[in-house]
Amino acid sequence: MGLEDKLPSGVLLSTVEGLAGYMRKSSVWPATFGLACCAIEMMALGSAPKHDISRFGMERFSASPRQADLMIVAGRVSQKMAPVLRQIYDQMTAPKWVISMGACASSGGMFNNYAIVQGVDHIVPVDIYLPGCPPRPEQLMDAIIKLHALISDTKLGPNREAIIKEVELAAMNALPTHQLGNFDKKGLLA
Amino acid sequence: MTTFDPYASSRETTEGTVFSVTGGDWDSLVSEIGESKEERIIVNMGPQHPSTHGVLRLVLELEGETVTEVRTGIGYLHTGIEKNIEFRNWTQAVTFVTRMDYLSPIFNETAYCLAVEKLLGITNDIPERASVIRVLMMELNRISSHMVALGTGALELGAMAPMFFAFREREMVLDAFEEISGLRMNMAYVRPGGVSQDLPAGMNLKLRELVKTLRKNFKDNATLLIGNTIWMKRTEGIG
Amino acid sequence: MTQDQSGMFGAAGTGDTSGYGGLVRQSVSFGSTERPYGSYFDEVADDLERAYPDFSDAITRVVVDRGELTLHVKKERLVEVASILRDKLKFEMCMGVSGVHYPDRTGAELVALYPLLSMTKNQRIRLEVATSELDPHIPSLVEVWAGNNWHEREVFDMFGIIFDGHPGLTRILMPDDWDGHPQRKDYPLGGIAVEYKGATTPAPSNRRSYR
Repeated sequence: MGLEDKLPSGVLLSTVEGLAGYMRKSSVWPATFGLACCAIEMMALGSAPKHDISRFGMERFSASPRQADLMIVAGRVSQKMAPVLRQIYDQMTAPKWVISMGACASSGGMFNNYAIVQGVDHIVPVDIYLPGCPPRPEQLMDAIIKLHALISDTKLGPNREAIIKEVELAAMNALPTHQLGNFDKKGLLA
Repeated sequence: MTTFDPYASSRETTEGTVFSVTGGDWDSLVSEIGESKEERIIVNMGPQHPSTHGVLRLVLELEGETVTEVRTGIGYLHTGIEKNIEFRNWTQAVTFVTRMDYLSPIFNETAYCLAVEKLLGITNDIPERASVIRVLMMELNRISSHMVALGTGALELGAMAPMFFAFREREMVLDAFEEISGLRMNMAYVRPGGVSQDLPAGMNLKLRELVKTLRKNFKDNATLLIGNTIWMKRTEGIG
Repeated sequence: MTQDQSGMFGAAGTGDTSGYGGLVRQSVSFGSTERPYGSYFDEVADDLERAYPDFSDAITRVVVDRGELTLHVKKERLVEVASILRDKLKFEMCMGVSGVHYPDRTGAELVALYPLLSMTKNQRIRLEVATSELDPHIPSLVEVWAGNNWHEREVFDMFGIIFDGHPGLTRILMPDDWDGHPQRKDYPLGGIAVEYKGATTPAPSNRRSYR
């Protein structure tokens, strides 16, 4: 009938990491951080019956950052808004993830000027970058699904510390893009 | 202040006045508290909060639940669009102007293009079909923008269902936009001199079907809201 | 007054395949328009002259261009002219303040524009006030049209025009401790070079040479 019937003698074995990851990804509560045009597409994902974010259990957008898990930075972050963004991120409790939705949040987008922060990764650590101007609700759903895969695979305990050390070491020794050498330097057409 | 009252006796302690409530005494309790000094609370409804879809900072002075004074702080979405446009073509500027008011992109584009055409002096040379298509797109945009307004307005007052209905309508209009211009939002469709491309074949019929469906759906939306006591009480006679 | 400019943007020093290099832009002369102005502009000018005896002293230029009337006003007389326009000529609405920066016009670099609308008569005109960068003061019109409050703050923030008599002139769009006035022509666009796949695209202000 259900899962219970398929289990041999009613026992299910899993890892703590697997179980914790499964539970965490099944009910992520996004914090409302809609700023500009991408916010409207985020609202379309959340409220339009066509694309329905409650299929993930995520329709409860948490207004208070203390109860939110995911911050979807949707829209352009201006210089005045940047400290507010950081404050909201700091007020979120761990574990927390960030999706930077749209071109303006990921890299400054088409507004390459004095007034817009050129990418929210200058301010908060980002887990998933989602390009688009604005990204369709289906694209945001794809980003959320990828984030769920990321969440369900997070390690805990000593495994987590090992992974963090490894990633930091790789980042410290990484070459900047223009020195990587495996691009033929043909420019953007490569 | 401490008159003997059989329903709410109060006594002074080191922590202040302590009221012992024994039921059925809300009025006397409130009046006893009400005689104490009024407190004016200043609350900062910061730039991020669920109410304003967009960023607006409100500093409210509250007396109880009534807002007596409000001061606004704006500028959290300043993008420097005008300065950006100085380094681009007149046509490329349409892509910037369209993002000024992102709920009604066609209106921004049309206003800008009309100004450019006035500067060029070609206002009378725009093809009539282009003008009609502009008005058509603007009216469709009006529908989609008002759906967001209605939906989110209802959401603030606590009604969630009208929001889903309103966004269903909006999705239909956005599908029409996608067929005509290629994008759902921020289309850069209206350009100086006309529109970027003609309507696709058969679009007239599709739009007529859309209007028929929308008319029927608007009746449903209206019944949801207008018959609702809470909605009427919160909106009739306010302000 | 500028002479004809030829050429537009294009890569200097290489072959110009855009075709914009052959463009010749004629200069716009800023003289005053001769009477009759056409449509309702004569009526407005006559009414103003009747209501304001110092008309020729305060209003330096009347320009009618592309169906729009612009009155260039001396900044000392701005409040008087504005009050008369609002009370006697029924221009009830001021659509805000726009700022312009002409770096070439020494002595009158910063300009504030006030579009006015008369709803009773369905007429639109524009007031233009110029001031120099070294003395960027213009009297505030908040007592005449209260809605100009935030618009003047915006023009102060973006252009640096100080409005005397404004009840609270602070930055409105940029953070309060920002340096400089962004919309002036000599303020840099502030973009960064974008790196992608080993190649760098310069910021928009450095990409093409605009002449």
